[in-house]
Amino acid sequence: MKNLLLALITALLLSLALAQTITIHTHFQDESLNWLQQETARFEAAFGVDVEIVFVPVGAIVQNMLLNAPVGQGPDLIVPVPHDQLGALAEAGVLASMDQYATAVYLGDLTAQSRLAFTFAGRLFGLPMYVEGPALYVNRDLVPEGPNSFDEFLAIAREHTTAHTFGFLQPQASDAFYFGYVWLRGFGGYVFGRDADGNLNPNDIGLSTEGAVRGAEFIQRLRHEYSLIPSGVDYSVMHGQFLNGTAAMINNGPWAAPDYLAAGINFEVMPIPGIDGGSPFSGFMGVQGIVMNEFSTNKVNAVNLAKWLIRTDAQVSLATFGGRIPASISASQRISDDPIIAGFAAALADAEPMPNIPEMARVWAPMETALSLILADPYADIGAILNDAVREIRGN
Amino acid sequence: MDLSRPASDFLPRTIKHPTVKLWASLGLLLLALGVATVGGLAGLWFVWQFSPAAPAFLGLAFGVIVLVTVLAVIARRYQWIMPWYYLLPAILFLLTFTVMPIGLTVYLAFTDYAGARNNQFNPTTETAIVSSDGAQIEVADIRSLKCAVLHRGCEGVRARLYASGEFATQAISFAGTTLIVDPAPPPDSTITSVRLELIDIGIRAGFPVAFVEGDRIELINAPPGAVDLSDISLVFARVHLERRILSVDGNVLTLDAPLPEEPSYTSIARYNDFSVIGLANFRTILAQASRALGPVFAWNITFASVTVALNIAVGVLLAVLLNDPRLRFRNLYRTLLIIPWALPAIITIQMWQGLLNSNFGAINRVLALFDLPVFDWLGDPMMARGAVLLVNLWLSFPFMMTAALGALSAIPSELYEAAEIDGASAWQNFWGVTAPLLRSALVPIALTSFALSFNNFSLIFLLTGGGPAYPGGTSTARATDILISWAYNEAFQSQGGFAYGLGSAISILIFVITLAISLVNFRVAGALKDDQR
Repeated sequence: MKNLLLALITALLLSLALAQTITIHTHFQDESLNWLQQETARFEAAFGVDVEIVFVPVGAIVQNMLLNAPVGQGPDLIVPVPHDQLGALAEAGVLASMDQYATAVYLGDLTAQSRLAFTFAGRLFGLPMYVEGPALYVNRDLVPEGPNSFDEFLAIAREHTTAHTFGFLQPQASDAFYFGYVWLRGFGGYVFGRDADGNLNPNDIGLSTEGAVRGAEFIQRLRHEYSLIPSGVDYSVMHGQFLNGTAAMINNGPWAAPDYLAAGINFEVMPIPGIDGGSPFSGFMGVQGIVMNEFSTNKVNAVNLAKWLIRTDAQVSLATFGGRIPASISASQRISDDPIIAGFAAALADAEPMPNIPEMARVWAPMETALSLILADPYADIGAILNDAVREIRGN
Repeated sequence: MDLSRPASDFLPRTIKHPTVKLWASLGLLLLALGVATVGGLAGLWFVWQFSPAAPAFLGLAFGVIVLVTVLAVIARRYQWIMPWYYLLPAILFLLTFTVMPIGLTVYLAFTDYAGARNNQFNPTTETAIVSSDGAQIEVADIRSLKCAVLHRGCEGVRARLYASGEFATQAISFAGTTLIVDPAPPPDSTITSVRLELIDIGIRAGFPVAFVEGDRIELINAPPGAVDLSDISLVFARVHLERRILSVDGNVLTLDAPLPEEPSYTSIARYNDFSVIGLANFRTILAQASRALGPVFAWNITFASVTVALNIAVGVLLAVLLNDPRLRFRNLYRTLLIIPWALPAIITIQMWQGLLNSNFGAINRVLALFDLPVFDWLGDPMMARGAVLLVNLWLSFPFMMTAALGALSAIPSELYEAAEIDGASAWQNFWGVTAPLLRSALVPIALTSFALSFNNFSLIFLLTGGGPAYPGGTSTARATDILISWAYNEAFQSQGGFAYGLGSAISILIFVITLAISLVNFRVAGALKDDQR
């Protein structure tokens, strides 16, 4: 009986002690995780508060937060979370608004896209850390120069598409919408329009407009007319072909650069050139940042840690060690001499952050279906298919 | 023989029917569990009065103590109940893992529970209050409350009203953890933290407050490095009030109770309350039945029947071949043929997905090497269905083969000798002798295999993800979607995911369908069994 009582009291005291630790959920691995561990160690030394880092795969972060945070089992911070999940998390009431913690100086130092990406319903719900998005990787061993114009891009792609090599690859068997949006947007389509205040309007869907139809036609031409991308190309096929050196150009994001560097590929990153010298083609951009759990019992210390991690010095070291492109303008100016980062910064300068409203989650499945139908049949009625998809997105 | 005793003393005693004791013991066990639950909750509430941060699992400890005590008391009163205590773990697990999920699913199927209606507080709906008058308040913009997402608008929805503030001041002196400020904060305000600009580090950080005395503020931890004394904010505890919105009229909300005079509340935000919507979920499902439920159900039945028939046919064929004593290296063949069963299906199915890739997969490359026609295995709807059946055949035939081998070894060889004497061919041997005797062993296997294949989620999800889209279908019900994967898509991928109400309704529909099919199955199997006798 006495032992049982002792055990109970110990458990009680332990759980009270643990309440003072800040818990972080992260999907970082490798160098970025090292960076996070270093920075939190410095924070612990300066502020005297313990930090616990827990790895959660990126696909599970949102479900985890939605289910566990309201019952007090969620982390204090998520470092980082992709911004397109922001709306769903904020609407479910699990995110703390960061308006009161963000100073004007900090907000002025952010790129407009990253600030928009983390703003929902007019409030700032997270602190942006870094941006990512697909750009054109060019294998300089196969393509010594260019492409400097869109026509040159197509010409080089067709020239290098032989029985054993590919001129240009982009995933079409899966993730077709995420990567293909580059063309949908470039020809005039959009996902959600913005109203006068700059907020996204979920009723204004631009995926069946004339521009979107032209973009979808181009995606179809990539397969059937130019024969650049055969069926069955998903992300791993594209990644593998570039790693083997059999793909001249691919459309991929900064997360793949360390693999290509390790394989010794001589590559350069640049934006996809626009038609007739117009603005380059750029599609979706993702911004990852730090969010705080509304149900956290340790908010004051958690905010201190969040601000510690996004200060300019930390951002510069993240870019240097983790290869991430910072959202802070002053940090990106300090590292502008890295060619890969400069290439991505140029490609993402005009990119559109993925809409962060919860209605965006309804867009992915119907658009994937629509694009797979358009790609399967060269005589498909693209306008009708896109109209069907938009109807499904609206929920009728 | 002692004739003074009645005859019944020498006759066997009639045992009281055991079912009487079963219900009594079940009742007593459930009573004990009920008392233990109440005791656990009461103990937890008691602990929370003294230490609100205590973890909730202490309630479990109290519950266990009360349960053991109650069980001991019952055992002393009814001695016959001791052997029945073995039911207790089974009852506990049944209640926790079967009764509760079923009850919850049935309840949620009649609600619109989803991510945006999850009964949690929604701070994104915070709207400024322009003026308030008793129980009526006027907000700046009613659209910020986003009432359109909820079933009956904002009527009957819980809301929270805020009164908060931040007080800007400057420090006269700062030593260690003691801060003296001028102007001093209002006397009866609760300051929870102080925001200080850290000059060396370059961030504005917050520091929790231990206590406040007039113009002297004591922090819990000293800040690292130098601090800007001219720019200090004192953060007040954000006071909030819970109310329920009764009605909405333009920008005016009527609450269920009037607001107090002090302090003045400046903003309101609502909860994401979900409501019971009756049969609306079922109506939604049946409305798109022709595009979704119908084709998916048809494919599901087709898939389950064809795959069972195919698996059994191939399994029996291989078993008959392996059973032949004249075949050499039988053990080697049997070992090799068991391999698909031995490897973990989760991995092999994904391996098949790679092999079946139309341009880069090994199967099409080998076919092209021999100038044979290649197929778009996973891209064409009919080919994808064929691919699913073939992969399931590869995964399942070892089990059928082994079961058939076992049943074959039970057939006496005299029957075959008799058939040989009668001049039967191998074909007649099989249909006349082997098949009828195998039937009794394989019918239960066929039934269970049908039931398992009917809900074979992992195969569909890993191989095709629901399969290629076809014109006329929806994005959640595609060419190889079965009922359960369609339910998964509807619940977790459409509508922004987390459409648990709709997913629960689909689950109930699947249960009803599966029950109906099982009843039909059992009746058919029962009829067959009667014939044999």
